Amino acid sequence: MHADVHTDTHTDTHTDTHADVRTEMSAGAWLRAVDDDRTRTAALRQAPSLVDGLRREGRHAQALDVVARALRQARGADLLARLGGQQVLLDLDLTDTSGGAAADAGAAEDPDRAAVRAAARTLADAADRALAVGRTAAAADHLLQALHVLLHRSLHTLDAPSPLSRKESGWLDPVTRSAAYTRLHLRTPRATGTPDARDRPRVLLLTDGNAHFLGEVEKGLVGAGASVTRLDLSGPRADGVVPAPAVLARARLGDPAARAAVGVSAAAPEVAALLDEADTVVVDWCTAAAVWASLVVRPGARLVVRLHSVEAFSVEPHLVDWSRVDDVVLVGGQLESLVRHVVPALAPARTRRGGPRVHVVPNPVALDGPPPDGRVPSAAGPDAARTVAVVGWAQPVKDPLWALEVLDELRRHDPRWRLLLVGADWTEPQLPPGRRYRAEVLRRIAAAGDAVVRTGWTADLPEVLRDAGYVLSSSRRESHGVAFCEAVAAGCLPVTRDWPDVAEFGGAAAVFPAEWVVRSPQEAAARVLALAAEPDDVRARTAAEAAAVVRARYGTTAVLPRLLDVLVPAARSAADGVRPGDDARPHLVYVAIGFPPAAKSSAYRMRATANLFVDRGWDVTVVTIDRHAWDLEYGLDLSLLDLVDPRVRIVELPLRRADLDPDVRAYSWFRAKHPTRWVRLRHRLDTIPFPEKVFGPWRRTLERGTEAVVRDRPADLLLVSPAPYTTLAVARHVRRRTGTPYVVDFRDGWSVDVLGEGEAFGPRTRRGRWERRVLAGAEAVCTVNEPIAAFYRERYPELASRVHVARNGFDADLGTDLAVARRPDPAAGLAFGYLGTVNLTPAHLSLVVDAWAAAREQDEVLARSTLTFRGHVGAGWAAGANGNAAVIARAGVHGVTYGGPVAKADVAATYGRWDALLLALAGGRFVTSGKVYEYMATGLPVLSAHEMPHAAQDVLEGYPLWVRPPALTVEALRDGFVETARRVLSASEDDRAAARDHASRFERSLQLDPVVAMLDDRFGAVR
Amino acid sequence: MSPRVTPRPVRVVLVGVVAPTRTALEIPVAALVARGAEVRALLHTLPEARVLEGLGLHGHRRLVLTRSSRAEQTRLPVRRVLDAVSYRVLRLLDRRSSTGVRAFRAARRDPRSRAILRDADVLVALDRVAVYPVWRLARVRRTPAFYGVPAALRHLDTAAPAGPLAAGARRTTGREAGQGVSG
Repeated sequence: MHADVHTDTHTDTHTDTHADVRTEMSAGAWLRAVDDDRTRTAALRQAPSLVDGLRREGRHAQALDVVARALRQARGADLLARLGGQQVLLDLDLTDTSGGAAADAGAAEDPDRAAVRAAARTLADAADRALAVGRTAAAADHLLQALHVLLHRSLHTLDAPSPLSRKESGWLDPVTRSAAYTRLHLRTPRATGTPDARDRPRVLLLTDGNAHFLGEVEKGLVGAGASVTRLDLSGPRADGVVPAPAVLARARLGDPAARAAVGVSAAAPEVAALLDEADTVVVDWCTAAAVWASLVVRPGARLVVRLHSVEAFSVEPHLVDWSRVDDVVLVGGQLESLVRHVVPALAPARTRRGGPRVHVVPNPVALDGPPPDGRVPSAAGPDAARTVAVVGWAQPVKDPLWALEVLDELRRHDPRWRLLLVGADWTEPQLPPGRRYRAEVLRRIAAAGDAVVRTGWTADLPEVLRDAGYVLSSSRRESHGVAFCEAVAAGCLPVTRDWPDVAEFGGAAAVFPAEWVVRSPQEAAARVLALAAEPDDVRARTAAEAAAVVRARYGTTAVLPRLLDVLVPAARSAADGVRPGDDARPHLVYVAIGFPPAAKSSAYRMRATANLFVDRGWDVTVVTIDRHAWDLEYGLDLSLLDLVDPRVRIVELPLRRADLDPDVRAYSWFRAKHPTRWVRLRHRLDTIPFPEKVFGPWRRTLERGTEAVVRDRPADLLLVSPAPYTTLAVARHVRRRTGTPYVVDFRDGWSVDVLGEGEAFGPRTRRGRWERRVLAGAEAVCTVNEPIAAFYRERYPELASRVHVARNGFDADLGTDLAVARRPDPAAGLAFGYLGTVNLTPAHLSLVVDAWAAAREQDEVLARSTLTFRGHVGAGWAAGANGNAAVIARAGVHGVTYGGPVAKADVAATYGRWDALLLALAGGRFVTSGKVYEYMATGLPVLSAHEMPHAAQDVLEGYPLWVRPPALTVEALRDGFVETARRVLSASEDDRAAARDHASRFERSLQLDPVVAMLDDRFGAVR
Repeated sequence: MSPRVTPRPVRVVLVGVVAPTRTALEIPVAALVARGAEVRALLHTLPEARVLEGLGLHGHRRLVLTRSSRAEQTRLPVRRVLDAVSYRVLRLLDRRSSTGVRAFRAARRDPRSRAILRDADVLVALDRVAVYPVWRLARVRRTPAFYGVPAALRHLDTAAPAGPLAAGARRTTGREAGQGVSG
């Protein structure tokens, strides 16, 4: 046993990017140099290196002087950003978040978290700017400093709540949303290598100084027949091999010099042979060693990284190339939630398709020997019945002050209670905040006198704990606490704080029985006193049960086999290895304008189509437009990319809509002065290359770009998905040039007027001739509903057999369950909602709103109710500002509100706040819309507010909670709202379940798969 | 904490010719304010007072032709006569001009609007008619100018924050100085 088991490895590594400039120049000399006009520029350039050096040496006051002076004199956004970041780091070094008395002159107040975030954002912006001009080294330096600012130890490891402990804090957003960070974690195809077939797996265990939890693992691996080598990268054998974090960060961003330096480090004689021989490299603790390993482990060798708790609050997990890591081991369910929330590259949506496999396997605890036979504390030691132990206490993260508060509570009842602090004493921390916290703890211990006993480090924990009847985990965060578990196994009665830094992520209740868990010192004292009041035999039985729980969950015999399954799996499935004959796989080129990350509704159908083809063994290349072009319309949702299979290759062509260019300075006089005439003229010119306004000029680029893709690797099938209809010309062009067969996923058609219910243009018009020509050559044509398919079968009888229906549906694999659990509260009123683009005419929307107002007058529950619109209202410059927005604004007095667009991740939560849904749709029998499927998946009552007949009716027919007014009039819709409110209040659980059951058949992949299967059968035969 | 040189907030000026609705302003202005921007509005047609209340605007100004082109009335009779004459001439010209042109003339003549525009880091046209005055005003100081708030938000998200010296450091060439807005 080891009492000081958890060494906090959180290191605040300083970047060493200007190693050539040391602190030979004193702060005084620098201040003189900056006063001199001749030397000022050079001095300012050296300021960041000087400040880094002074900070490393602990001369914070001087460093602050230099930084403040440099900030006054410096020019240039990069330098200002860097100095601003350094100033925040220095402030954080000196700031006491524990509220103790300020001991240093430089520290006067708590850090302003807004200023910290602002500094990080400025640095991330600087990183993006540097990246944009190819200065990858500078970008990496800025990014690394931004991460150090946000993850500074005084914000996360003292006794103030860490900003990361709240799910909604978005603390790391300034960095994780930057382009540089996104580049860092772009999914790139990994180099493949052939695993060597060996009888005896060779495992290299890498550590960065802390091998505390490896003992049992190593024994287990050897027992399993593996050949194990342990290498401590900060030990004497390989010290200095791993380059500085700044170099690793630069290498991760692709800086050639840094990559070369990393390559040299991997070729060092101390490590080269070990890296070359290992089949599996296991890195314990996600430190710089893990970053380095993700860069240097050879293709073909497996890389496994195990994270404990402190790494969630550190920089390194953000630098690891997770696409190179095969398996990640986390040591607790609550830590899994935390880490996957904090590190975007490990988020479930990201790892669902590709990325490392994530496992939760606790640290094995050596609990050999017979279980305690329920020893009675009073029999063990004279004071044990009134002694609470804390094992491994001398770190801020263990929060001994909290334990001392528990002691105070206990002593209020009985002054004989004692606190036994087991473990090594507290060494003097380096920085003032840590020193102050330690001083406060020692002061309180001294004040408690005999009530607190310190044992020092011990090798025989059970023996020491004979003097304790209870064990307390007072930590701010834990995996499960190895030392705590050892104490429980030794017979102490457990009391554990609901570790505040991980409470929102499951907390202590995720790993221990709920009755062990307390939330305040008062609760802790109450539990201890309640246990103390029990008879001896009851206490003994409770202790034995607790020990049994610990042994069953965390004992070596229970945990080690699970861990070994991850580290040295018996046989890797052939599917995980390299697939033979990649060239033999059929190739689909998919022209899909609107493919993720475009935040458009069509993106979901497109990504599902691409994924289904990949699932059937195809290689898919998507041709789309520059992602930033979508900024001009509905915007980007980069998280959608996580739902795309990583094997899908995306080619972006440099196209964007000129008519949506928002940069007024770039406008001509004619465009600025006469915008309407300019648009009219522009649309006329647009149709010269292809008869489609706005997109016609894209024809040539789309044709050439797609042809180049097909020539690069021949395609077995070309799939185009209009709109824009200019892609029809691409299909024909590529067919004529390369002979590639094509299929048109026509969705809503072209010549059918889905809103007006007639034909949009005649067969003899230019558009009509184009449509006929292209469809005549198509192998298949898909539409989203039967009425549109019937329209085309009738218009082109010769195509009838080639027209198929591939409906839309709801996406069950978005990672959220759409089923709504909320139950209505008539006293508070009901919540009606509309989610989706508000693309109704203002007249239609006014009718809906008038009906709502009339219904509120008629029904008292509705009078208390609200109607909320969420989604896009208008696009581009008119986002949130068109006629529909005005209608909604005017209806504010009737409880109608607009809440803005909803991100993909928030869709389920948005539905979860509503009691009923308003299905207001434009068009008639040709318009199905995508939202009807999603609405049904919630199991909520749905009120139709659209023309009848309507294509959505076919889908809703049979939905038990569907309210269908007989006509689209104010009166009918008013009665519909009243009826919907009645259905909301009367619907039973069975009704909701039946509603969801009806919806389940409309899952998107179920709708698309038959058509994809048909195409796979016809075109997917290996060439 | 030690004294820190804080960047001054970015100043965004919204220019509208058509009266904006509350819905059109509420979320966009909140987004701008959330990014630390100071938002002011120059509106040719003022909406009802409740539309602008509580939006978080740092001020708004109506874009109409003012009688005086100076912040303070000069005592010089010549100047006062010139002001009166130019006012009448512009009134006559306005009768034959489009709304966008009228809005631009009003902005150029009004000393308080000029002061707002002088400090602006970003100009935003709220509606199609406002594009013309924004286009003209943006040429004066080469101020970034956008049609619609979403583009301005993207600009703020990607551009460097306005430094303490950003406005002062802007070099003024003779040519640009000649284009300065004046009465």
